[in-house]
Amino acid sequence: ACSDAEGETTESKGDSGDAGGSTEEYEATTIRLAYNLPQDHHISVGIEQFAEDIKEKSGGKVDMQVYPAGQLLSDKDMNQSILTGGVEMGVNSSTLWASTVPAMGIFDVPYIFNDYSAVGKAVNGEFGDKLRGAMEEKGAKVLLFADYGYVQFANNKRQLKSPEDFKGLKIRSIGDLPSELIQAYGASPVFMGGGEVYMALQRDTVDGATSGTTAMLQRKYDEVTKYLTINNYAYLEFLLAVNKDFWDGLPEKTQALIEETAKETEEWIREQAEKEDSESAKALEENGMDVYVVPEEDLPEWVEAAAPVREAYLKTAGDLGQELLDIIDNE
Amino acid sequence: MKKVYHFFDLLIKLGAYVAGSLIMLTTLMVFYEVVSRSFFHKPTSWATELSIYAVIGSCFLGSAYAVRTYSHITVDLLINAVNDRVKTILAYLTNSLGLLFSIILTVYSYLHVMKTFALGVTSSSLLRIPMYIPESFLPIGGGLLCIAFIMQLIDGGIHEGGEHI
Amino acid sequence: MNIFFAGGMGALLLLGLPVAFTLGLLAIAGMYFFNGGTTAFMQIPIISYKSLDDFSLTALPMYVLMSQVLVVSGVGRDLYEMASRWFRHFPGGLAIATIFCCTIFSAISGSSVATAVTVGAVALPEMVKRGYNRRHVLGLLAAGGTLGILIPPSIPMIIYGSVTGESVGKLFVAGIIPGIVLTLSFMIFSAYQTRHIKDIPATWKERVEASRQAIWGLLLPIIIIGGIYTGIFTPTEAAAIGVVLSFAIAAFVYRNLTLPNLKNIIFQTVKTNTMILFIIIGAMLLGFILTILQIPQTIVNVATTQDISPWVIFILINIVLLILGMFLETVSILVITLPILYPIIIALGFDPIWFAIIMVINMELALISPPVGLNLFVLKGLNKENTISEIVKGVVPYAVIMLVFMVILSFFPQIATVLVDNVK
Ligand code: NA
Ligand code: NA
Repeated sequence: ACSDAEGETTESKGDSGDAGGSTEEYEATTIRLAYNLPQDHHISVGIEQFAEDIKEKSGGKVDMQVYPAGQLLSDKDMNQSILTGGVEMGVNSSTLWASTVPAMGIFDVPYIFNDYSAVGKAVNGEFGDKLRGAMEEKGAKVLLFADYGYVQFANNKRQLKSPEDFKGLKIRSIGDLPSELIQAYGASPVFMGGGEVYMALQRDTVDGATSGTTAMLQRKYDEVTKYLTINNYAYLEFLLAVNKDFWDGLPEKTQALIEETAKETEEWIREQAEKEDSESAKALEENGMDVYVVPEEDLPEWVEAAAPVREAYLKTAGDLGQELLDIIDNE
Repeated sequence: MKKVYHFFDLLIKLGAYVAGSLIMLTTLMVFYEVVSRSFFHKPTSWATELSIYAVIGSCFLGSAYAVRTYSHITVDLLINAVNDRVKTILAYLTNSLGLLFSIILTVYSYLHVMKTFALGVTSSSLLRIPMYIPESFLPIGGGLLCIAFIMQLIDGGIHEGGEHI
Repeated sequence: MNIFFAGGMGALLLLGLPVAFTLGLLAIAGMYFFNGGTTAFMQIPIISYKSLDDFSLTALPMYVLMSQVLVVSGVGRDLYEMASRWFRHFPGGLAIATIFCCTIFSAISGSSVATAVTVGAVALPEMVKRGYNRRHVLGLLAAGGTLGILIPPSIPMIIYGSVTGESVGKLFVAGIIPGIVLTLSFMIFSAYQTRHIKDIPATWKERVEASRQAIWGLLLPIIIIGGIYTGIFTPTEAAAIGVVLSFAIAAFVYRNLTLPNLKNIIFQTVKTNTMILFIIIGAMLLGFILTILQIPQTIVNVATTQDISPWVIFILINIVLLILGMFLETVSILVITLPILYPIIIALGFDPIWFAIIMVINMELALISPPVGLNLFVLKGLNKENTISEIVKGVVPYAVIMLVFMVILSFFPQIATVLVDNVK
C-alpha cells in the first residue's frame, strides 16, 4: 500500500507539470480526526469546517476522515488514542487533558478570565506557548484552542446570590477542580454517569449541576431545573491535538496548510462561543428558568471563597502552574 | 510438572475469588453512596469511581476461571455434528486461537500500563488515582487467560475441564 | 472487507471459539490487515478498558448477582410459583406466568440480559418439567427477556439520551405503552402456542398462600421503581439496592444464606458476569475497527443518501439496524449509528422520541438475532443441553411479532408519544 501512495504522488506531480516548487501538489495523506461533542455544537461545526477546508484546499490530497460525536472514541480514551496513534487528531477538553498534563487544569481554576478577548490573547501568547510545550513533552501537538464558553451552575433549591447559598446542596460534577470549587463553596459534588443527570435533576437525586449554558440547553436542563446562576466561574477550553510523531512526519507544506486553517477555525469558534453563550442563556430564561447574573461588585466575594481551588491546582500543576497563574495575574 | 499445573489452577481460582469479592464490594460501595447521599446528605467522592474499577477488575480477573469452567459462550452448531476425532482437532485449534488473542491482549496491555505509568496519567476526579493501577487488571487478567488456554491445550482434546476447579 | 469480517466471524464461531474471543480476534485481524499492521494494537488495551469504564455498566454485575441470590434463595421460585397458581389453569398458563415475571424484572432492571438470566433460571426447569416444549420455552424466555430494555428503566434509552441529548425521562415514559402492548402480544402468542398444556386450577387458598410466600419477591420491584421515581437512587444504583434487599430476604426471611450457598452464588455470578462483559469488550474492539474502516457509516450513508421518500429511508435504516444487530452488541450499535442517524431522523421530520422506541425494539431484535445475540448466549449459559439453534428456532415467531409491532408503531406513533405529551 505504501508504494502505491508514492507512485500516485509522483504521477500527480508529473501531471501538475508547470514550474516547480510552490505549486507542487500536496502529498497524499489520510488524517483521522475524532471528537465527542454533539454534532450541532459550535466547536463541532468549526471542526467539521476545518476538515472540509483542508480537504478542499489540498485538492483532496489530505484526506480528513472525521469521526463525530463519540462514534469512535469517548472523552476518556481520546488522549491515550492520540498519544499512541490510534487516531492522528482528536478534540478533547482541557479538563481531561489535565489528567495527563496537570498544568492544563488552569482553565478550571475559577475566575481567571474575565472576558472573551482575554482568553484569545492568553492562548496566543506566552501562556499558550507554555501549555503547548507541556503537551508536546507528552507527545501531542496542540493545533488550536477551541472555546467552549463559560460554565455556570443550575439548581433546584434556591437562587445562588452568594457563595453562602451553596451550603448543603448536592451538585453533579465532573473533573477534579470543579469538584474542589463545589466543596469550597460548601456544597457536595456528586458523581454519576452523564446519561443519568437529567433524571437525577428531575427526581431531586441531586440538587444541581454545572455546565455551559449551551450544554444545559441541549440537554434540556430547563425542563428539570429552576435556577440558573451566571457567575462565569470558568472558561472551558477544548483542544484540537495531533499526534506529535505523525505531525513531524508531515511535509512542511501540509503542516503550513493545517496550521493556517487551524488559526482561522480557532478564531471562528471563539466568536461563536460568545454568541452561543448569550443566546443559550436567553433561551434558558425564555424556557422558564430563573436567571441571576452575579453583579460585578459581588465578584470579589466569589473569587475569595474559591481560593482553595487555586491551591489544589498548584499542588498538581507545580511550577508550571505557578508560572501560568503569574502570567494571568500580571495581565 | 503436576505441581505447577496444580499451582496455576489455584491461581486461576484465586482470580475468581477476587473477582467475586470485587462485585460484592461494588454493591456495598454503591449502596453506601445511596444511603449516605439520600439519608445523610453526604455524597461520597469515591463510590462511583471505585466501583467502576472494581467491575473492570471483576471482569479481567474472572475471565480465566470462566475459560476453565467453559462459561464463555460458544456456538456449538458444528461441534455437535462432528465425531470425536474432529472435535479433538477443533479443541486444539480454538484453544490455540484463544491463546493467541490472550497473548496479544497481555503484551499490549502491559505496554499500555507502562506508558500510562510513564505519562503519569491520573483519573480526572477528586481522587486523582494513578490510572496505571486500575489498568493493571488488564495484563494480570490477560496473563491468567494465557495460563488458562495453555492448560486447556495440555488437557487436550474435548476434555470438559472445570470439574477439578 | 465486509466479506472478510462476516466470513471470518462465521468460520471462527463454527470452529467453537467462544464468541468473546471470536469478536476480539477478528478485531485484531482487522487491525493487522487493514489498519497498519501491529501499530493499531496499542488500541486494544485502550478500547478494552474503555468498554467497561462506565458507571451505568456497574449495574450489570449487580443484576447478575441479584438474580443468583433470588434463584439460590428461592425467592425467584416462589414468585414463579405464585404466578403459576394464578395463571396455570389457562391454556398455556405457565407461559403467561413467565412473561408476567419477565415484566416484573424488566421493571426492576435496565438490562435484557439481567431479565433473561433471572427469569430463565427459574422458569426453564419448571416449565420443561411440566411438559412444555423446550424450544418453545427457550424462545419465550429469549423474547420475554428483551422486554427489559423497553420497559423502563432501560440502559439503551439512557445511552440514546446521552448521545442525542433527548430527555431520558421522556424516553422512559415513551417506553411504557409499547412495553405493555408487546408484553400482552407475547402473552397471547405464547399461550396460543402452548395452548394444549393446561393444569388443574389452583384453589383460592393455594393462590393466597403462594402470594403471601411471594410477597418479598413482589416487594422488590415496588421498592426499586418507587426508589427510582422518588429520586432516592438512580436506575444504576437501583441494582445495588436490589442486591442488598435480596441478600437480606435470603438471610432473614428464607434463612438459607449458608456458606456453600454464598460460594455458589459468587462463583456463578463471576462466570456469567465475565462472560457478558467479555463479549462487550470483544464487540467494542470489533466496533472500533469497523468504525475506523467506516463500514457501518458507509452502509448507513448508502441507505440514507438516496433521493427517495422519508419512509423508504426509514425502512432502509431499519434494515441496516437489523443487519448490524446480527453482528454487534447493542451499546456499540447505538454509539456507532446514532451520530449518523439522529440528524437524518430530525431532517426527515420524524419524532426523535418515537424513533428512540423504534431503535430500542431494533436493539431487542439484536439481542435475539444470531450469530451474536446476548440473550441467546445467556439462555445457552443456563443449561448445557440448550443449543443456540434451538433457542433461535424458538424465538423466530416473537421476532416476527416485534417486526409487526414496529410496523404498527410506524403507522401509529401515538402509541409511544401519547404519554409523553400528556404526562409531566
Ligand atoms: Na427495564
Ligand atoms: Na444479534
